[in-house]
Amino acid sequence: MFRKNSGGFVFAEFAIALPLLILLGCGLATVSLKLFDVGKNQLADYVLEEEVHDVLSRIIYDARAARKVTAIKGSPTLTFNYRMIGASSGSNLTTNEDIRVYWRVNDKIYYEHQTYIARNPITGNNYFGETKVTKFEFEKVNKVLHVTLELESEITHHKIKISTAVYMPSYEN
Amino acid sequence: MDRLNNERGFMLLNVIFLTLITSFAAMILMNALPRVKNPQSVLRLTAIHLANEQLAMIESKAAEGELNLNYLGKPEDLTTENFSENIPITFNVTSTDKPNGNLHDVTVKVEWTVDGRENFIELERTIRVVPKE
Repeated sequence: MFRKNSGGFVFAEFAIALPLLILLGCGLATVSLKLFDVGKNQLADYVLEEEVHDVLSRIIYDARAARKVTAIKGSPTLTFNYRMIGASSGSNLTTNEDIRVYWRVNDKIYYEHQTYIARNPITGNNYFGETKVTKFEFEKVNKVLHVTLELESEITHHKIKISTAVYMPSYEN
Repeated sequence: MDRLNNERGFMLLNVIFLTLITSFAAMILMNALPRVKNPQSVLRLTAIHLANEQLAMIESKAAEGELNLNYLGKPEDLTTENFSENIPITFNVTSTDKPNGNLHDVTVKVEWTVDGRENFIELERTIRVVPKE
């Protein structure tokens, strides 16, 4: 079967190198599957982190300029009122009201502008990791708004809970 | 030497397969590297919002006429279990102040320890103390 002058090289090639190659290949496949799994979980966690941070920083920046805040605890709704200066007609400036609403409906937080219809979700709906809101609480003490937000990832079932506070300098009692 | 001359094909194949295996291993290791490097992003995020809370409380006190550098937030916010496998992590908040007339550059430092490693963040904000009438 083997040629005389090959000196066992071909035999060695198939008997040693091929099984080694298969073993190495299996090992690499296992490791890469594990890594894909870790990567999937980590992406879901990044999404979770990013969403809680996004909602909280939006609330912080909106609250700092707000003239009035209405907090409803039943179906958690946070409404910020602003006084906007519109285009001048003649010599006098017109002022009008602007409203921004953070609203928790079921598992999502909606961010609405000038309306109370939940249309624009700012959490959930992410391809890399579905999340749901498990807690959205707020409390206003004088001119400080305390916000607590807890989100849970549907993929890793990790929970992240962050509390923060905003001082509202232009709040009118 | 003369006899190995016949096995050029196998040697070439070995070179190709070994290169492929090595490059796959390198790809996997390079993929794992950033995950090892950044293990504490969630605690960092919590610390940033905690510092923000402390700054907001200092601001509200400053609007009433006094600058209070003690921890003014809610005490339960100093402990978190975010991603820490049921081991609560405790934050330590300290504030320092560089006065410049009515304006104060307040620096809030939040420190925490994970696995014996100390981490911290620092946030700074200029706060105006409204003089009392």
